[in-house]
Amino acid sequence: MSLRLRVAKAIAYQEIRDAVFGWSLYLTVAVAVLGGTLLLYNATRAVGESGLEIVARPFYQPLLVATSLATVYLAGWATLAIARPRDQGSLRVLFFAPVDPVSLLGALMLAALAVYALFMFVTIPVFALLSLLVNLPLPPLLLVGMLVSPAFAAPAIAIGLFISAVAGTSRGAMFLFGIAVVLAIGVQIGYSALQGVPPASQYYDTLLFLREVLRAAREALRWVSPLALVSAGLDAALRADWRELLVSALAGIGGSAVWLVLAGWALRRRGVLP
Amino acid sequence: MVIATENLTMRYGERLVVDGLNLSVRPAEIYGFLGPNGAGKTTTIHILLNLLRPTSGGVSLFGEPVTPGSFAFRRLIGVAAEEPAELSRLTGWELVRYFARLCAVGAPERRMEGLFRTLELWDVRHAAARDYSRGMRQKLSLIRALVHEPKLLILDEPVSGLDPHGIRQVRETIDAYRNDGGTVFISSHILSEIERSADRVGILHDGHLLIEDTLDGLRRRIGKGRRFVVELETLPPSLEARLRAMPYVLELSVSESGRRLEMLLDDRDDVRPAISAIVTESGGVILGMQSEEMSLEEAFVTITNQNVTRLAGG
Amino acid sequence: MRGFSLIALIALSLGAGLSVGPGGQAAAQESDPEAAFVYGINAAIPDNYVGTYAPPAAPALYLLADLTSVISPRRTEIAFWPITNEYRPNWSALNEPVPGVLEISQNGTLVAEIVPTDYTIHFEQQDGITTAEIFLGADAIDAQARFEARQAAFQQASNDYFQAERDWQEAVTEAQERRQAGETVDVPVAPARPDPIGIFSNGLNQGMPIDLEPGRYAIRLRGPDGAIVPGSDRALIIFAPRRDGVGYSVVPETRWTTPDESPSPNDVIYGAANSALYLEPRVAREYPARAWALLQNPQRTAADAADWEWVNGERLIDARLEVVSGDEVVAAQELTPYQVDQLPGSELGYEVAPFDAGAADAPAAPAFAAYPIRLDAPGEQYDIRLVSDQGEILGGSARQVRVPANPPISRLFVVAVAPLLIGAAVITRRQRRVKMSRAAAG
Repeated sequence: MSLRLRVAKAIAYQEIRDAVFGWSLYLTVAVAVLGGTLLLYNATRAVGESGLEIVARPFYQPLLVATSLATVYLAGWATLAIARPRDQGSLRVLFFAPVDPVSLLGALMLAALAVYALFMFVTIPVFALLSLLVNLPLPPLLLVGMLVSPAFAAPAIAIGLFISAVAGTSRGAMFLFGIAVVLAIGVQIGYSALQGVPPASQYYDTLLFLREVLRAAREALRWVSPLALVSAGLDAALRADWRELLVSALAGIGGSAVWLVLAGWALRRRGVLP
Repeated sequence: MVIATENLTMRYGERLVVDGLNLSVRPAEIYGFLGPNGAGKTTTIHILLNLLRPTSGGVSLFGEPVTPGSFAFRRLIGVAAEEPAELSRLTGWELVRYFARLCAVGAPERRMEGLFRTLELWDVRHAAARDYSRGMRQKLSLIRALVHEPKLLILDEPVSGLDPHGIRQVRETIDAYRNDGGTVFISSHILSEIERSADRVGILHDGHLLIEDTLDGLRRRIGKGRRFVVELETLPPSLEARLRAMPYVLELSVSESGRRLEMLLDDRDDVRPAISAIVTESGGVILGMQSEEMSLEEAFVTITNQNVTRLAGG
Repeated sequence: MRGFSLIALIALSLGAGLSVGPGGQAAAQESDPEAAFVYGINAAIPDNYVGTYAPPAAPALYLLADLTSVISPRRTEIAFWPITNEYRPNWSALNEPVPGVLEISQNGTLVAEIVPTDYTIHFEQQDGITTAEIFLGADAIDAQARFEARQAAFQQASNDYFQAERDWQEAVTEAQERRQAGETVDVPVAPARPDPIGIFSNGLNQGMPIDLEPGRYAIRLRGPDGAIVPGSDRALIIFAPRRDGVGYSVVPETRWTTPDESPSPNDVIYGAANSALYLEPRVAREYPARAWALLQNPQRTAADAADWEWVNGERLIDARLEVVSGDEVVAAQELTPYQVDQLPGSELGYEVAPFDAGAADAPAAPAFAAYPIRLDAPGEQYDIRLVSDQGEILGGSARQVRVPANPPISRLFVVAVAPLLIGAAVITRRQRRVKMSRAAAG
């Protein structure tokens, strides 16, 4: 086994252990499952009250929420994965061993994807149990989408690693992460808000231009934003549109490769010293 | 050479941190790398480990040049530096085993046990490393550096924060390592420890290597020799003048009682028998003779002051 | 992770602020009416038409491909109505056709020039379902003439009926009097009400018929003087459904007047135990959600709810419903007409029963036609599908029908707590192992 691979495995194993022995993983899983439970509970209550409920795509919303939560959690984890140990000096100590940026980034990506798999390993059986309890079907096609979903989460992790590598401090990294989240969410929310501006408004003409800018940004984000990829991928799986599922997965893998290369460049440039 | 640098220079903007450094470390020697705070010692270590790219110059380790991006050579090096207070949630044992895995050591547990017992961390090996005291973290750092049996040990302030007992443990461990054929590069400003262990020293000041030699060589270069004290029963009248006339007596002071002579001798040859003969011929009775070498601290201060004076145009 | 939480909180607050800010604070007041160039739109949808219009504030018109829609350039009074955030037309105050030729271009190339044509749309209602048919040119004139003849005939029949009813009332009164006088008299039979005309026409109008392939086009009106009419430049988006299948209007026994729609093949029909559901089959199509919304109202400013939307369309009648449990077909239902009978007496409620045209108190027409499904116990589950006369399963017609199992709430939320319990066990065990005494740490 090559030295890099051996080192990456050792670091990845350690990072996974760290995640398993920390509270944030379990809290995130609990929030995801709780969200899904609430949605399902609402459906059963609605049937009781009105006699009929058409449940569009059962478990799609709960699994989308779970996948999105896991993606954001891992993106946040990745954002601190390099910046915080670098701030504290422990990244320098790690590099006393035969570690290089490639093995470190590979290990962190591997660890994050393993934690994501762990997340799904716990979440999906819980939803299967809920499916039995409330007698709503868990579509097999959705499970296929979940199998492919690591490809949609990967760009979020890679973006987090890039931010972590390029930021000077862990505080700076969190700030950049916040900017990225605001950008991803804010473009959509801003576009939605601007659509509500009445034509008779005195600001209409100015805001119309801004709205078109946001619409273009939104279209671009569909291919870049991990959350958009998650949504598009699960949707494609439910429609059994394997071509679109493959395209979304390839976009995710390609995107994460690009961000990882940038992260490697940033880490070499900024270094591992506090 | 185990370590060799050639005109190593590191500049941050206009600030010159390391200036044309040419140092060399021989196999199986303990090399003391000295300098005041801010001299550039840690920066030099970072460059040796390829954690920093120098502005110019080169580094060779084990005879091979260190190229940008190379990292595999660190498998042959053990580094003990001040451990950060905030380590991961690992126990001491887990941390060392982690590094053993990183350096591709299979089944390191036996060696780890030996090191933990030697440095008296065995009883706390399963405690979280972040709960260790500073001294314990220093010892853990040394264990981590030694677990993979490196050929070169780089130590940055290895005894900082240790009590005398801990210092002795660390010193014995380093000596045992060198006796097994390992090479040690110690960076420190605790000169007494370097004086005890080092075969050669290099003195760094403002990024510039002022001198690199053995301790004796250091003293000789400075031109100040051995301090010699003679205790007499009484001071013979002619003794002082005769001693001052000797070319190898650089300085002579007599105590008020006249019974204690302190001399600074030119250390090229051992002149103690000649002094003893002069005292006897002068009619003095020697009650005691004591030879004191110039301490490393004195040598260090002298050398750095000289450099400051030289730089200031004095 | 504290910093992470703080940043996420700030991001969400900013998002909430953005969603409230510009739209809410922009000044929106009712404007004075003003004359404006608009496009009147009769947008074709499968088996029907949607009437709407596009004022200057609507930069694009949305129409379906491979169907004939009609747009009419007109001048009318519009005024901004802040309650709905839209410009409302006042057709009664001003409704002038704007003469000219409609130019349609794509990527800068002129693809069509359309002159105004006579048209009429006739809407027919049957069994609660409205369908529409468009007539163009000479056919429009003929169709309108036929409609007007039917209308006149119905008017005459109605007049005859009213007269006959008056005569019948008089005869009944006379019969009652004679009966009271001790005579044996047959009560005359009431006259039959004439059948409703069942058709509505929007009249004979002038408009430009449009039937194009999917794509993005530009339209403008060139006036008789050769100049482009100001305000007539718009985008024209022609779109088509992505997929089609079978949808259902699901009529629950407990609220038959408010059925739910199940257009998507991914829907699950969740019904209450001890109830009946009635499934009206439809042709369903999947449209781009935003385009579909703007087809119906070009001024709509609501944000996209989803990228694609399934929509129920015209009725589907040539199929049989199979109810499958496991691998076994437990029931096969034919499309059955139903009537809704109010329960007699002081009891409130109604009963859904098969339509019996021959019954004395039968309504004129069934309330709806559907496939019945009976749900009994909690936890039941079925698969349903439509099968053609040839035995083929209609694509997209499969649905799962489930009855909730109604577990106690506590059991549901215990499941949500399980990950925390696992985490607590793992972390506590670990912490016990690594705990160090103060003496050892000294």
